[in-house]
Amino acid sequence: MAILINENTRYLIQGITGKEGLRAATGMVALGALVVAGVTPGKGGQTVAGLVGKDGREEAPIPVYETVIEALKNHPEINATSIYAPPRFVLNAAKEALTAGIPLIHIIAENVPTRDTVEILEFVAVKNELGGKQYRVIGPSSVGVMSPGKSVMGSFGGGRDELLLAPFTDGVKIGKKKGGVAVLTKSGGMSLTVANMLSQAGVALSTVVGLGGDKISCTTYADLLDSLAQDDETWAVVLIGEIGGSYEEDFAQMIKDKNFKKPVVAFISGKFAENLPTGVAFGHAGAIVSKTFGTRAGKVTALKGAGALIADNPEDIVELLQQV
Amino acid sequence: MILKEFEGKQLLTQVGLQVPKSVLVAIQTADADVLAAQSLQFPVFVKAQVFHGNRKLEGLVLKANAFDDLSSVVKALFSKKDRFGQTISHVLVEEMAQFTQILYVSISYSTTTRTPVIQFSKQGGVGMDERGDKMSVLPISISKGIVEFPEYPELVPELKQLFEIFLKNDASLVEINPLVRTQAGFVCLDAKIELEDIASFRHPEWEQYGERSQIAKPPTAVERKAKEISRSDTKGVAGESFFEFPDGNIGVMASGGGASTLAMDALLAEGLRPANYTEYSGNPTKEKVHALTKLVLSLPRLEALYVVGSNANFTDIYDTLSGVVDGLVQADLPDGFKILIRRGGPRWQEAFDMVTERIEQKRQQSGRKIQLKLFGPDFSIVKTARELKKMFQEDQE
Repeated sequence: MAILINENTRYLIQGITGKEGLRAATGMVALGALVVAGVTPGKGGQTVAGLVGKDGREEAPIPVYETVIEALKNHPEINATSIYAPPRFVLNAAKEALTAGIPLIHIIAENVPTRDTVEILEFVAVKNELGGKQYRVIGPSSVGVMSPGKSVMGSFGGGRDELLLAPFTDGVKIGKKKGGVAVLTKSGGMSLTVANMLSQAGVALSTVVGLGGDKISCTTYADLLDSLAQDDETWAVVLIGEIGGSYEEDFAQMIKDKNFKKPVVAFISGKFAENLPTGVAFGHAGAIVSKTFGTRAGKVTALKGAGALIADNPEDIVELLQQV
Repeated sequence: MILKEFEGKQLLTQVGLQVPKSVLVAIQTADADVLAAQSLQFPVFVKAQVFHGNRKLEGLVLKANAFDDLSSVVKALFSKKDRFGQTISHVLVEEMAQFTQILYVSISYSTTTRTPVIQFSKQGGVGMDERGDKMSVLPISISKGIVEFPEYPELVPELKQLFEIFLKNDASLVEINPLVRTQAGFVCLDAKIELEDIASFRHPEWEQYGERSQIAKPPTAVERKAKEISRSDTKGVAGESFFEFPDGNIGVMASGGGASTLAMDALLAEGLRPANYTEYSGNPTKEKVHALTKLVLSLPRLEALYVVGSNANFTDIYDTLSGVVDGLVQADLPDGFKILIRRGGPRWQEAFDMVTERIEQKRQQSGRKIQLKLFGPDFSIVKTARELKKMFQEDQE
């Protein structure tokens, strides 16, 4: 099954005619994702042609619509969207997608004001409280998601075919365990780096998720715990965390609260920052140093307390996976 | 960015919150400004306007008992420096309040609830961290606003006003400590407000605040320049986060938010001494990376440049490393300079060929020994630190 996306995911790309949106569409199509439509206000009626699919053949042109509603009317099968809009337009773009009924939304933009992110989260909560279809937003500042061999959303992997992530298949084993490993990170680069490393070591992957490194993320590690528990193609979870915030601690708490049984191997970076002045953000908006809150030590303690194995270096992850 | 107390209080009064009657004295117009304080009721507090807290303990809040003393008290403060050695440009002369209770209240975003939260204590004032009193935390919904506050119901109107400031100004923190209860209602004796820089596109009024650091410590010249470089165009970041370390000898140019902290940890674990932290990512232009490289190479006493990043999803490695090499080629590298690069991502092999060739040219032109090691996406980020250490060791042999 994998989590979040699979071979049945049909994508819209909001901002498809922009430079980054077009690049994402090209990459997604190249890796076999089913991009069925795009939206760019003012460019409705155009098409994006010439994209080449996984088999090396040119795909049919992708139609561009004025609005998300219009795209959905013509392509009711769309069930995910990737938003490639500048930070100031992200809130409205996300609301438009949620209103139109797209259940999975990916936001790549960095520098979205926290207030806007929180408003998106509230909007999602209101929709989810109605029952029925459940909505999820990944990001902001998320590189995207990949379920190797099945589908890719956003800029993950950049569409390069040298990117050989080992997909889950029935035959793949690590130790005695069958199935794939889910990789959850805040960082786009680290998600690909660790996924590459695991693939090379022969570890099959179910889904790799870049959650984004903002202070407030619409989806956190803990939010994915239920899906991970239910996913029959995921037998273990690799969590790549960093200093700042509480999402690693929240995941640890959730492991205990929900009695999550699958093995978790975690790596937390940012030790060097602990002796620096507080308030500085390192690389990610959410990676903020504080003396008492969001420290590496606190995260490691919480995760260990929940039974997770802690890798001192990313390289140790493979060995730890073999131990569990 | 952090606002000074008087700037924060301007926002408070705009929504109708009470602050003590005061006069702002600027250093350039001190004499005339002090005269205006004649109308205040003495004794008064005279408070240096700085970006950090604990002012009272550091002698940056003084008292003037009578108007005749004010001028000398103001002068005394203007002759002082703040904790970071910065001169003081403004002091706030403020009437003292008679109060019956000292409260603490703040509004910020919580990563636990992923909402704005009110933090509140009935024991506000100085030394809250030391006392370690537990604060109550109440999440707030942006759409519903503050409806009730069972712990201190009388405060609901003020909380609503504070929340209005928080939202309207894209604040990340609105902290009032102390907030005192007086016969005339609640009065904000101090204000610490932090605004979220990235929302500046909808706040033209922020221009009045000029350039600000994200933390109370002022940026160094190099840190300021790095931010300028990063914001010179909107394509990716290059130097947005920059931090100088005294006594380092390794220039760092990391890539990817997560990988950059990993690389720093690895350097320190090997006992190496980075001269800085900085990061470029999100496919910045060659020009931007070039400018950042030049800046990093301008740090004193550098013996090495460490260019380490994750396996990029969409950052063009050829373009960005071209920027790095442009900087290296132009620099006057000392004999024995070490360059270590670890990258993966679009066009990395092509990029490595280019780096090798251009550094070889640099060796020949300068006649100097330059060590270069290149590692691709399959090489561990952590192990690059050991490789760099080896380069230093080989140097000594």
